[in-house]
Amino acid sequence: MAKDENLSDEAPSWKFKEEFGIVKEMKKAVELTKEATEKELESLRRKLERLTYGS
Amino acid sequence: MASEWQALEVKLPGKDLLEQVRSTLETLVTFMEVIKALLETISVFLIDFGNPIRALVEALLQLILQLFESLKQTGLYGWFDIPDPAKDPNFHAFKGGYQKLTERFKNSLFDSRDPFRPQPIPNLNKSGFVLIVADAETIFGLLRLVKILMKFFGRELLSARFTTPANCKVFPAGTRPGALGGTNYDPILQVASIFGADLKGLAIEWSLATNQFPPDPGFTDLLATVSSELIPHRWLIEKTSVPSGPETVTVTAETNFESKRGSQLKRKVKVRDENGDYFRKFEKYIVIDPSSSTGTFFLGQLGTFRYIDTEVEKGKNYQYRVRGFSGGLKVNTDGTLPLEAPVFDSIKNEYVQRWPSLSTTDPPIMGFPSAIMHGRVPNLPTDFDVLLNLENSLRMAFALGFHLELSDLATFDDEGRNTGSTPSSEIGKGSLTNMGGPISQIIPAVSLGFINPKSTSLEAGAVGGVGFSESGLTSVTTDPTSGSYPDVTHNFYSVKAHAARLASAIGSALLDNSAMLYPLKDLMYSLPRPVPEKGYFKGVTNLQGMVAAFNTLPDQFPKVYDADVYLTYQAAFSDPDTRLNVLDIIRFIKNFTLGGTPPDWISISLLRDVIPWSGQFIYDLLNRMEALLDAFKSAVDEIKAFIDTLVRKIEVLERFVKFLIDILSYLDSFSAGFYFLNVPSTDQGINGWIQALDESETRGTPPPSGPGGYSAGVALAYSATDVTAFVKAFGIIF
Repeated sequence: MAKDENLSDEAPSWKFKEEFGIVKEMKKAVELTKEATEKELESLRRKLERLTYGS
Repeated sequence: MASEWQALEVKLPGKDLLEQVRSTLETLVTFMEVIKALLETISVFLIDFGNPIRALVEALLQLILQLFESLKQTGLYGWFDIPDPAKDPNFHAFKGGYQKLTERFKNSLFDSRDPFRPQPIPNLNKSGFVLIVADAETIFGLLRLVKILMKFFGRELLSARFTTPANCKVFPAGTRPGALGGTNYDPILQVASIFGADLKGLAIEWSLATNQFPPDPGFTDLLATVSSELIPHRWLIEKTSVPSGPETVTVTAETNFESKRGSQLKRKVKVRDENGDYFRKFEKYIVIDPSSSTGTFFLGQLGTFRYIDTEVEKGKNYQYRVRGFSGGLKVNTDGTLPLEAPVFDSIKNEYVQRWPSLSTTDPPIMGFPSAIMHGRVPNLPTDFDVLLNLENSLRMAFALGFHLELSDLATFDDEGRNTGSTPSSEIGKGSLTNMGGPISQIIPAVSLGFINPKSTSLEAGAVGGVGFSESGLTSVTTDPTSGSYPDVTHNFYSVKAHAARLASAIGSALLDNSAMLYPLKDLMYSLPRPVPEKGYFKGVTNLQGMVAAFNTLPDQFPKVYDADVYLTYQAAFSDPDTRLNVLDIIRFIKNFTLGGTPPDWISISLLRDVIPWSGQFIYDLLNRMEALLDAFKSAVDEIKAFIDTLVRKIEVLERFVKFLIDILSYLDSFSAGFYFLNVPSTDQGINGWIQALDESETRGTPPPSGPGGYSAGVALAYSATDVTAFVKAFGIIF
């Protein structure tokens, strides 16, 4: 595939893609947001656990 | 949809022509809005949100905003070469692979009737385009891809959908279906044919799903209807004999919890299929298509599909379900599925079991399954005519008056014999009272001296009769009008018809409980009590012979005379042993078919009904605990309020994660394999485009379908003195 990409800089060539570029970018953004949210959730859960059962 | 160019700029105000391109941009703008909404939500809920991530998302948003500003310039063209099932599907036009598609694309550039075609001026304007091709081996595969492509551009297109098949049933089968020159039979209508057949398998029958969609003025369900009703797709029968039913596929997944020793806890997770249902694994899969089950497949095109599964054991329960499908489903030669391990779909955040595929270019598209149907080949006893025995027994029971009310004064001993002044003709009465139906008023002919109770004459003797003595018959007189001899109850048409109806119902129940057929046979082959050696009863050795002898009637009876008919009837009617024998048969078949013994089961509560004192004790204990808790209530309340705040925040964040997962699922729905040809910039005008197209035929990964395949595509093109923004934008979007 690396060769194909080099070719595309010089001459147009067909590419097979399983995802649109913009969808890929959006997924990246949503995944990052999800990751951050889950970290926040984890920290809250830990707080709750300490409060409920003691540290 | 015609393959023609459409301009972005509004050259013809008010025309719908521009809607497609406009919606393309609107969809892309919607994507941008989603990211914007995400950022806003994050800032509200996540105070401690990490700066690097926030900066990254904001930078992304900024980039996309710039791109769309560029796209809003004039000079953008769209070419949509896709089937439009709502207007004219013309699937044939899309055959010929991508070579044909590029031909259509080139032709569209020189179509002088199309005012919107791009016409960049060589050496003055720079121009470029991106061509997105959906390429498939079958029209169904193409429609699946086109649907995703059009959804990306903000337009919905319905693709093939295999709805649940209708009228599914499973029943025992032995002979060939009527359409193939055999006998058609159905257990609901013809129990006789099941008992009469040499059962060899189970017939699974279903028909195409009926169209139950609400009326649609836009005919947008046209393709779905056409594909399910007119295009012969394939079918998959799933089968298992495991008593607990098909197994739900599970995987052992790790959890976020730890054991006391610090190791990560694991749990079993149910795996779903691509439709979102739990994946249930059957023992065997049977494909119905023109090559593997030719007869079933082609006869099914007439409306009803019927497959006869001969690989079944008698008396064993089988479970089946049926679903439509297209594409290449891989099934092993022994009928099992070569399932790969479930994969974790990080987008959907769940484990998914994919259906095994024959090739990556033609994955199976599975329809929705029918409900699970149960079937069993009853283990029918040989040399035993179930229905004839049932019918004979019922006719005899009705002839002996078992359907009449039992006298309140009747008394019987432990064995059921009449005692005191109770006549023997009371034995058995009341046992079929609820089943008398249309014959409940018919009185046994013998008790009236064999006067046909249907006769209009009420005077005994005036319409013929039979006189008896100890030695036999004394006189037999005919009806002076018809010339017939006196008739017997079991020869009345209404009695015969009702007995046949009941025998059919009991037979049907016996098919479900075929284990009871052998005890019935054993009973009918025994003779619990002797029968009188009179009439046709002479030489009878078992109950089967007894009921057959009782129902022996010469042809043309009662037009012809037969003394044994009267002697048999009279002997049976007054003999307690014979009546008790018949009662044995009636009790046996009533036990499991014609209603159980009242009273029925009742529900009880262990604490309330069985051990009442323990319930009271527990309630007392609860009251004391409640009083104890009240004492600490005020202190606990404050802690609770703080915990509640935390819990609420956690709940909000959990909902937010779910929202993110939904967005990811939506984004995931755009995942499909497309072929892209990006010609970013040329100053050679249309000739430059053609040259790029021709040269690219051997470069990279061109669509592989070839002349037998189907291709559709969308092209977006631009033309301006400076196309840098477009090149950048298209590079990111596609």
